[in-house]
Amino acid sequence: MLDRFRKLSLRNKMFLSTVGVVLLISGAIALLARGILVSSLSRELEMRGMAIAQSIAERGGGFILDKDRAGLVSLLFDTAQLGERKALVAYIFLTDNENKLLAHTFIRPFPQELLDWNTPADSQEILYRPVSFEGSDAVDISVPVQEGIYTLGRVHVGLRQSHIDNLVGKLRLTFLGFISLVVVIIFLIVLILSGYVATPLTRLTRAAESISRGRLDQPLDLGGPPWNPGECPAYNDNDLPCWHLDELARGEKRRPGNCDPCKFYRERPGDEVVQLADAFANMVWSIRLYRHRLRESEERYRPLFDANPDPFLVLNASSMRFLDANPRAQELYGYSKEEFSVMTISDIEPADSQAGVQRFLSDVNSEAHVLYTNVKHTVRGGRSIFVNIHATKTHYRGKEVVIFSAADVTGLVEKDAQLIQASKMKTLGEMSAGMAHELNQPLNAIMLGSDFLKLAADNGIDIPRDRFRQVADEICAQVERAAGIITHLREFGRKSDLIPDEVDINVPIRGVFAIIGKQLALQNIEVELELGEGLSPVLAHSNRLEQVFFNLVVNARDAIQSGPRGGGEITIRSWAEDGTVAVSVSDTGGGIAPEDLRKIFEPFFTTKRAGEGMGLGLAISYGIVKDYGGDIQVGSEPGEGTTFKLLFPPAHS
Amino acid sequence: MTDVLVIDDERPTLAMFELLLQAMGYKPKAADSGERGLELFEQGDFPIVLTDIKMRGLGGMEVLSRIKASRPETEVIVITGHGDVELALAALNLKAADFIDKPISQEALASALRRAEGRISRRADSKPVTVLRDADGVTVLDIAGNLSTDLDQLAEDIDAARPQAGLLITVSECASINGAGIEGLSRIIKEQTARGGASAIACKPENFRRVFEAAGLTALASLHESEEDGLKFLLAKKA
Repeated sequence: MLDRFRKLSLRNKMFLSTVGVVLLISGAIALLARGILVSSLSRELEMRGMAIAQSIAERGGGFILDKDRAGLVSLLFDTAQLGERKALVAYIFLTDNENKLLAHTFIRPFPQELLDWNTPADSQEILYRPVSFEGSDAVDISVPVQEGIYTLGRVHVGLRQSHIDNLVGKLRLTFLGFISLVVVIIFLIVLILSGYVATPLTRLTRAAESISRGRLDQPLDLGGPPWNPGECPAYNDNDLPCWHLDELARGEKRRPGNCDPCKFYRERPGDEVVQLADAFANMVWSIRLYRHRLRESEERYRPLFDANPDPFLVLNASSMRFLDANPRAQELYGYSKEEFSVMTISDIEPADSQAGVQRFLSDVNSEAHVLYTNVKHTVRGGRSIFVNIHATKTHYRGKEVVIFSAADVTGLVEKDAQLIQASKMKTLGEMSAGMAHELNQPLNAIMLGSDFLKLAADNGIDIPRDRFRQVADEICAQVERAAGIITHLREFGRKSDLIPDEVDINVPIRGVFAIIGKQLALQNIEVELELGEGLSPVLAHSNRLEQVFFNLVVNARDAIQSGPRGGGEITIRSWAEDGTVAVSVSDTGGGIAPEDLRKIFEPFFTTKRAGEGMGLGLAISYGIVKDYGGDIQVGSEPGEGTTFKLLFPPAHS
Repeated sequence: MTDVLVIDDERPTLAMFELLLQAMGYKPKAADSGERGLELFEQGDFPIVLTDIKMRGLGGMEVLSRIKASRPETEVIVITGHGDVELALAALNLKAADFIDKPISQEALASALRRAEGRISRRADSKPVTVLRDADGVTVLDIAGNLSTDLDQLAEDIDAARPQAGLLITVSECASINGAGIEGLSRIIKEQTARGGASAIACKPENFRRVFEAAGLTALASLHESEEDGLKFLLAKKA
């Protein structure tokens, strides 16, 4: 029941509840009225009956004493027939003290049942009782007839019950008619009122529904005079904030001022319904305005996305599928927007990448915006390119997405590799003196040994077997030594792949000393290696790292040699520090002047004399270390020596 | 059997050296460091010392200068890296008798030792270091032994001889020459050029030819392997 009521329209609800309340109140009034009116009417009639009885009792006393029966009868009849009493009074009769009938108004034989009155004859009381005779009901009112102090008998007046009922019925009908009239009037009023309230609400509902379906631009008819919010200057100029409209614009410098009256908000005098309709209309216009602004803003930024010279891609963060790609991205990767829409990030980025969009997504600690450099991506046809990725987590069309730009740096990476290679060649040149010395040693021993054999053969000298063996072994060992040097040199000079490997940091350090260790010793420079064992590998190119260490060691050597003593010590340490792999290269040379310390990593900065150094070694070393996500720090005190500290991220974090 | 002291910090080389020198008929004594070499030098009597220039610890230059300070008559042959002419010149200036390049060939070693022995015997015979003579109108300057002193007297002699057909300088097998000697020679050649005459150098030992080239003498005078070639060149030039 309640449920059904809930489902009713507002109009019906108002109507039904109002009518219900009115009916309830009417019923209550009717019940109350009936109680009061009917009982007072009955009482009035009884009083009239009593008055008749008393008048008879007054006048009939004489007749009773005189035993004037005829007078009595005539009295009774006169009284009963007087005016309207005919309809009210059913009978009148008189009894004496012995309850013997003295006179009555019946023109038929007296109904004996009326005399079954068990009343003490001398009772002074006025008595009422309902009686029934000859098939009709009446109310019998009995009044004593008194003469002085004596009671002579009793007068009985019967009031016709049907007459009483008739009167009550008429009263009831009138009353009900009145109540019904009131109900009808209230009903009509409610009907009009509920219509007045519900119609704008229905209209608002319909308008809201239409808006929710996106039809914002339909004219909104909520009644009232025509109104054009387009006159509002802020409505037409999206760059113009309005303090009326735009709370966000607070604090903006450019203000349209206070339009009085506001052309946008209308305020009509009226009741709450009118105000509701106005507020609703304002709201719709505001939504329309913001949608307008949003669209314009999107229209403003869309060309930035589409015409951006950097490839931009939008990726759904949960499904990893591409949502959008600008033309440059389509051009770079060779896929159309449609093809992109069925691809995931793993189609262009290897899943095991150390850096890149997938790493960004899987790394919960990553910041909202990151830059990854030299990420390897695969384009259509399987060709690899290198890109610098700027990735941002954001929301786009209701989804959590990653927007990233992928700037193609393949050319740069290759140029970089070429530069490093070129500088490596220069390093190789610098090494050549040492290498020549290193190669000369085994060659010398081989030459001497083989000359010995040749001389013995030429001169017919007998060589004891063990001596022969010694020479042959030595020659073999020296050839291997020379071959080892050449292999190392070739490995160093080899062009590195563009993709780094896992490298034990101690390997390139040892490699450097395999080449120039002897030279340093010849130059009275002691080398101390304190290499930590079991360090995590780093992602790098072994020969590029060797180049870095070579540069640092050569600089250390030069620093020592330019010092006054000429001799010194180079210490290289490797150890694990705060999750990184650290290497330090220290020398006991003259140190770096504080004003030079800032500049040493700049290209072409050198303190060496012209022709001795290009000033590229440290700049390229710095570039290489930074490429591997590492860092170089330098600490130097003039006269105390210099320490370079290199930090590398481990390959597996 | 001549005693030879060999100083080299490369043990394999040293071992081979010993074997080869023995086979060549010398009596070698090996030292694997400069310090050890000086120690042995002081203890023994070595007319010839072979020392590597580049050694850990006490280097060959230091060994050379100490030996020369202690016994100047000792013939010290230094071993240099291939093409390391500057180092060779430096060693010659420290009065090294000769130098040989690594890797050392038996012939180079043999000829260096032979020249050293030649210089020792020449010194024993007290023959002059330089001789001036005339051949077909060409003034010939023969250099045998150590040419290291200043050559002012020699320059005057040549000036007096007024070499008409040209000046030929012959450097004998057992000759030795240092920076001062080279400088003096270049002055003499320049004076000859100033007089309008041609100059030629005849030099057999290959290592000295390299030194001359490095010192820039070949730009002033033509370099020949034998005396005949040099003479022929000068006579042809005059004609």
